[in-house]
Amino acid sequence: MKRSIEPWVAGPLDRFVAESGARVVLLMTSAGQVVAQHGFTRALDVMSAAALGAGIMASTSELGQVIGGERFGALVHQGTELGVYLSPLPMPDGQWIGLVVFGRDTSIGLVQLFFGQLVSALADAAPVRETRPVLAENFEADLDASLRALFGD
Amino acid sequence: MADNVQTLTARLAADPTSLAFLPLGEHLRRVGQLDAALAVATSGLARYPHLADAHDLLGRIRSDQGDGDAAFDAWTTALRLQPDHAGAHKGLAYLAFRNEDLPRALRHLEMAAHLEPEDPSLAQAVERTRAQVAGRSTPTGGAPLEPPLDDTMPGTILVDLDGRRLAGSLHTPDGSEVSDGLAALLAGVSQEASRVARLLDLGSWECLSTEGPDAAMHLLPPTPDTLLLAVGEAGAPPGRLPLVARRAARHAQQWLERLG
Amino acid sequence: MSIEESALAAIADVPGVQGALLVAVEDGLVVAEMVREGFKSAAAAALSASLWGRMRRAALAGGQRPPRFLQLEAEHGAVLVVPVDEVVLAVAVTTERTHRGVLRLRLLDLGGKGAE
Repeated sequence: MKRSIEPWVAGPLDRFVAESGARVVLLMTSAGQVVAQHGFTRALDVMSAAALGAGIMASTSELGQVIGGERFGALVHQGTELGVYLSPLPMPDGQWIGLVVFGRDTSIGLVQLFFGQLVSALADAAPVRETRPVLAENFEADLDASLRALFGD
Repeated sequence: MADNVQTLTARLAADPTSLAFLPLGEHLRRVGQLDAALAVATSGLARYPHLADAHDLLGRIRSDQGDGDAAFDAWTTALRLQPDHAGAHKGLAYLAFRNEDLPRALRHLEMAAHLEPEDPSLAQAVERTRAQVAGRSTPTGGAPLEPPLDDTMPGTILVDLDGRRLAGSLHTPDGSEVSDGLAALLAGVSQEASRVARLLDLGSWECLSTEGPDAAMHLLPPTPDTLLLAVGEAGAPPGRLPLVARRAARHAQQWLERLG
Repeated sequence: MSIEESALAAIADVPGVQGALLVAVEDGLVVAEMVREGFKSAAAAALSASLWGRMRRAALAGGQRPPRFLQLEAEHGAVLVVPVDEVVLAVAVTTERTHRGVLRLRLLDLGGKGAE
């Protein structure tokens, strides 16, 4: 199951899933707003994963500041059967985050390789528009709207 | 092998009566230089018109050239000169198979197997053909059930891009059938081979070969919609299996064309 | 020069070789490399490890033990792979003008050393 809020994200996301063999993909803004997903079946899981992914990236970034201003890149957690790849995704209107879950039928090398291509494809496909700051009071409404778009009511 | 060609050519030049034309013609045929092979064979035949081996060589060359009638003439001449010539029986079996005359193919295969009992591929071919003769209730009138793969061929399968077997079969040394399990994986292998070549800017992929402790494998696409896998003995000269596989691919192309 | 570097140098020295890599089998990541400028190391590592894995599975499905050498021939070059040991592959990527026979022997030699 694949859904995206921004239609121009769908093509690059499809290609990434096909090439990398990823099982689950979540693209979100750095504030945790979901942009697109592949492989989730329940809205609740998307919500939790987005919040946790954004939280991990924020914590890692803070940790980098604390230990001397280092900017960390992607994180990889390799389990016995599944691996998780969490990476910043630079976009023209700010930073997004990509969360990818992959199995033993592919490899972190392939996921990284095609994630790089996804970043380029999204940057090329993104329409130029004014950036809209994410306000705390709008966050919940935005999130609800995102989830409705991704999963329907 | 280039050295071998030079040696054979030099030997023939030094002594035109030498029988070196036989291995030289066969080598040229195997590497696909059919015109050169034909020239060597016909000049040898001019000197040795009663030599069955020379007619057998001519039959193989004519067969590779797609001239079945000339090949038939050459092999029947070989048998007239030497009725127990196994190569000529194999050649005629191949032609009969190609013409869907399975009973005749079986007769020649049985004779060849009787003459060369140490060749397991012949025994397998007899078994397969026997099963087909027994299993065929009505003549199909269409393409043969199996592509007419060369009788010196190791295990070979032809599969479509969905990993479904079209022809051929593969067995482990203990006799287990592994054709369909392997065929199912080949589609993914070819997709990956294609992706590797494309993303590393190497153009389109042409073939993939492996060498292992138990066997060597050579995979190539005879047509855009099919894959042919040849499996040969471990430790065989590394250049041999690709040659054999390319010949099988040519046969497979012809077979697929006839299928339409 | 480290052991890895000298092993890779023997491969990278063969004319026409664009890149020589040691690659983690499971991850498809570069362990060590000796490559020409502009060579796509990460792609070569990830893709060759994946191709190796698929061909290995095919060999097993065919009732064979895993291969000890793989060669992909393409229009403009080739990819050659040998397992150095259970976790590392040696990979060479070439243009069309390469002494494949020499390269094959050097790679197999490297594979043999890894297996010792």
